[in-house]
Amino acid sequence: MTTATTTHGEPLPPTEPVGLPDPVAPLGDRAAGAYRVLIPVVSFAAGAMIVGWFLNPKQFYHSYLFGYVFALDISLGALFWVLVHHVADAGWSVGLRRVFENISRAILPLAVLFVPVLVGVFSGELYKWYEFVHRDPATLHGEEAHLYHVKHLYFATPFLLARLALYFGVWAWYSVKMRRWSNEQDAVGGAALTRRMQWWAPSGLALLGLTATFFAFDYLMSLQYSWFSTIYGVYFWAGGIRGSLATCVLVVLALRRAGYLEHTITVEHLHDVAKIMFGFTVFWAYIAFSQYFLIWYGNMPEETQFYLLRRNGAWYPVSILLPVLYFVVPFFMLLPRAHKRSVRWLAVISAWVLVMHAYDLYWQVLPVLHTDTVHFHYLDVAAPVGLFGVVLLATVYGFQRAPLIPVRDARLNETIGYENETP
Amino acid sequence: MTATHTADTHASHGPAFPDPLPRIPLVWGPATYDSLSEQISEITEKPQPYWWWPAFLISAALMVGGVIAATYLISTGVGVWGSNNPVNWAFDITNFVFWIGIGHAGTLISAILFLFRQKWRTSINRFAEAMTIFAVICAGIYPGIHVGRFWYAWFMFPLPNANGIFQNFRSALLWDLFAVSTYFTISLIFWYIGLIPDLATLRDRAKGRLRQVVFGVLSMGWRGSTRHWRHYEVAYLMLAGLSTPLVLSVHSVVSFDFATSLIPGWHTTIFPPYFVAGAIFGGFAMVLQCMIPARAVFKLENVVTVKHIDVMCKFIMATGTLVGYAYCMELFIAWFSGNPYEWQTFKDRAFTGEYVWAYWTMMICNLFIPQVFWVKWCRQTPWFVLIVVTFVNVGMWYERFVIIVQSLSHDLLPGSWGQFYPSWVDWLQMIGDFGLFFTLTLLFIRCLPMIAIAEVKGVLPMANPHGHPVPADKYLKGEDGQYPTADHAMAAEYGAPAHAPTEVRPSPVPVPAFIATPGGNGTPWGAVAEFANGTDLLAAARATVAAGYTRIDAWTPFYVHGMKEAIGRSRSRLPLFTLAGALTGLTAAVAMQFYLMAYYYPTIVGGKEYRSWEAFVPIFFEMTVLFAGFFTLFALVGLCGLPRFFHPLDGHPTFNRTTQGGFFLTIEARDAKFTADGARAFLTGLGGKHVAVVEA
Repeated sequence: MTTATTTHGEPLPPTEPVGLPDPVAPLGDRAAGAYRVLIPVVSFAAGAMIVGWFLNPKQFYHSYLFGYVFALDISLGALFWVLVHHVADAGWSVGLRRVFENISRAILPLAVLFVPVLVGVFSGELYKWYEFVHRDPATLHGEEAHLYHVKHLYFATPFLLARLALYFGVWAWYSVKMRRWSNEQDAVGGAALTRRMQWWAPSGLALLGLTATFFAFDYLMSLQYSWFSTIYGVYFWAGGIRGSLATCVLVVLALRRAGYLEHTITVEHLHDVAKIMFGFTVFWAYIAFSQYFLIWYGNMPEETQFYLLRRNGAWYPVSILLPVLYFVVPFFMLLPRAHKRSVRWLAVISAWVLVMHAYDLYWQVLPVLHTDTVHFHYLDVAAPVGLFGVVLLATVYGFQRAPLIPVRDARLNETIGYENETP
Repeated sequence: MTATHTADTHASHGPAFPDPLPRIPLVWGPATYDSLSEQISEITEKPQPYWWWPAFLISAALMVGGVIAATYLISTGVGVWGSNNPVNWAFDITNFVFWIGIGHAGTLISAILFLFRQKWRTSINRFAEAMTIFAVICAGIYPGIHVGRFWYAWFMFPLPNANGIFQNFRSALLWDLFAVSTYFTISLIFWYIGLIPDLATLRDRAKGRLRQVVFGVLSMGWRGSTRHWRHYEVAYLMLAGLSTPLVLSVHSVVSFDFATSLIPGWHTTIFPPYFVAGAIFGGFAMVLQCMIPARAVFKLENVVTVKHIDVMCKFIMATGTLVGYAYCMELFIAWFSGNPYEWQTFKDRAFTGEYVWAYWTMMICNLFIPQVFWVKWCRQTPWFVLIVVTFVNVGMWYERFVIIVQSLSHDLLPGSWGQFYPSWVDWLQMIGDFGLFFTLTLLFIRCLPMIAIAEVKGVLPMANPHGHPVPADKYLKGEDGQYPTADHAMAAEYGAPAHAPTEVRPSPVPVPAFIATPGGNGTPWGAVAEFANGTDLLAAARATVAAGYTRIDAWTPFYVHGMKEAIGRSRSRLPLFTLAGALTGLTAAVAMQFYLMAYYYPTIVGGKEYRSWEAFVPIFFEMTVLFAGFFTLFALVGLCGLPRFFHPLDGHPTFNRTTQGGFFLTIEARDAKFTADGARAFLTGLGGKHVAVVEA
């Protein structure tokens, strides 16, 4: 495989075709405004997290995990959409693909930022299984001994770390490769790189699905280590897919507001994104209901523990509001066609979905820590804001370096001046 | 970089950027509207091919075997089947789930791919939808006969029995009834709505009186009016939107039959999406199983191209992998959960039990064999695809067999463990289903257009009224004058697409200036003119509106993009009816279930509270969709003023070409600006041919 580079190894400069409706050159210094907002916010959140880590480590690890997964599954969702774009040989979404490519840049910094979670794992503060699998098996009896037999194999440190390396290896490889090839195409154009990306994307999708599933098993489902649900991986996908769509819309709207891409990513594209958002709103509800419903109906103690913790006592109102706020409200907000074609509505809906996505993860993580009360801690704000800030920083960095859309994509004709064909 | 950035380059169809990877058209070769109408309709019009009767008689004989088996079952009792303790459910439910699964491809192709604008679906959706309906019929036999007492089939419906007790709305089997019957009804509506324009095509081509009457009645007087298309397109979208969650719900509800129980191997949360993925997988395999021979014998390779098969194979591989993912999740969680019962079942299933052979048949057929579709040759070689999809169909049957029979044979009570041995009646019933399915499929191929003619016309390159045809020597070539892929070269061998006709076909008889209508009242109904193609008609319609006419209509063989705006109409309000139907259905379902289960005759089942809403959700959903679908159908028929078997325009000698390849514009006499001579002169001035005024 040849990579188009200059003699110094720098990528060739993008070559922009004539006739684009908007300037699409990399933002370069013009991104300073975004940094001026993001850097103080992220720094402040980081400071708060460090203080919190010292003052209340247990709270910190749980809040950090919540914020971390929020940022990570948005980035993985973005990688998902990049790969889907290539698998489907899509044309209309070429412009949006760059947004997703740039969001998925966050995977690399997030790989580094996983360290506090690992500290949480090995300090035994975050996961109860840590203490459990390091017990002396001779002291265990009955059901516990049986669980130990399985869990100490699965959560053995070398295996755990090897899996983690595999997850991030897969995500980093596919996100970096997809982005590099795409940027290379900005310089050389042609069909060869499109075909190369299309050749690699299906395997990436399969591996992403599998690794994301086991990431969710390892770091979310295992918060209650004797609990299990076969659909949990799909639930994790569904959340990340929604979160990344909402983030994409917000990034596009911010770019448009700053005067970029106004005639390139139009309301026609946004309408389609909104339709997909609507579809995945229903999909999320379907998966969430399937999991809840089958556990409710079966009513077996080893399965109901997840919902018992959340449906009884202080967490009851939080649980009952989840389907209302994360399904019913977005469903009706997205139902009218006029809303899907209104920039203002889309901004509201996307922000709503994003916040509710965080709410969903909060509901999955924090009841494990505060089983009896809903104890809202400042770290529960600092962590998601700070880590989502990292995602946005990575995105802005991407727009600083690469053209705002894939300027020499083979399907550029289909995305520029695209018209939605809804009857 | 000196790129120019001007907002005015953002014309609606943009400047042409380099196109190194041209899109391959969906129909290969120089097809036109008329040639397509002819190619597809002829299959139903010509005498049947020599192989048809033998194939039909064999299928029908097998079907009769199924009838015999069912008759024996009903007359003797359910003991004639091999089902017994502990395997009380075996071939009956296996076949039921198998056929329901087959029935998922049609709606996936027609609805979900429609929503995703996968236009290649137009070549196969009709066929797949028909198969959906036939498969659901095959499946529907089992709930009817499975207790052997057919005369109690009415127990399934929400009617009180002699003690005033209603059905148990918290039972997965009752949800199944609602889900399957809703699915059948909505699929039928969707299929029928899709058929209407093609039935009109058959009506207008018909030579014999019988065909004219039958297709005339079935097509309800469809003539391709844009005022109708405007509602039609939205109704189609609404039904696609309803069918998409419906198709997911049906197999989810089928999976609830198992997953709501506590049997190890059945009770697992991934069952709903896992069953849906499996259903799409098996359904696509069955579509290819029937489509590959059909396209070969009826020479449809230009419409159902190798690329269509290629894409279908990719779907099979993707859904097969998803199913494999679910198998692995089940197996992994059975181990990871530390639940000894669950692990015992899976160990038995996969490694040690009596049904290990069935498990690995399923694994090999569903997960491993479809992986050959990573290789392009395997996707693009029809005979090879046919072999692979046969394995897939076998594998999907075994999947249900494994889930059902193996789990029951090793349930929670080791003392009752035992194997299942099917009886000859089981086998005969199963083979009879295949007979029924192929009998119906063969009849369908002979009687109805097996490809959605109007929809395929709409995706021809010439159908784009704003399109710029590529010169034949550059067709499918990249910037460098080479074919970018072997696929491009393969498609180019069929020849470049035809350009839209520029001349109106001559009329077989002279068109009089005034066409009398039998029983007419002497006053004009309006003026009509024919145009050569959609682009001309679009321009003429705009000019007519610009000239101050308001009551105009355009008549086209398919919906021409932008035409409703051109005749001065906006988007149809039909979605309001759909919404009204949805709310009616939901309200009815809420009222019915809470009233019957919590107040009228409260019963405790499975330890659930009287008013717990969870168990009522499946029927909430199904009735919402059912009512919304009916409202959509009735709104479409009502808003279009159908059926309308006679129209004054029918007297025009070429007007029946609106359902083949003709484009017509009419100005009605109700228009304030209308005068017979004025309208005629105006339409002639626009370049219209065969201009006439017809009597009301």
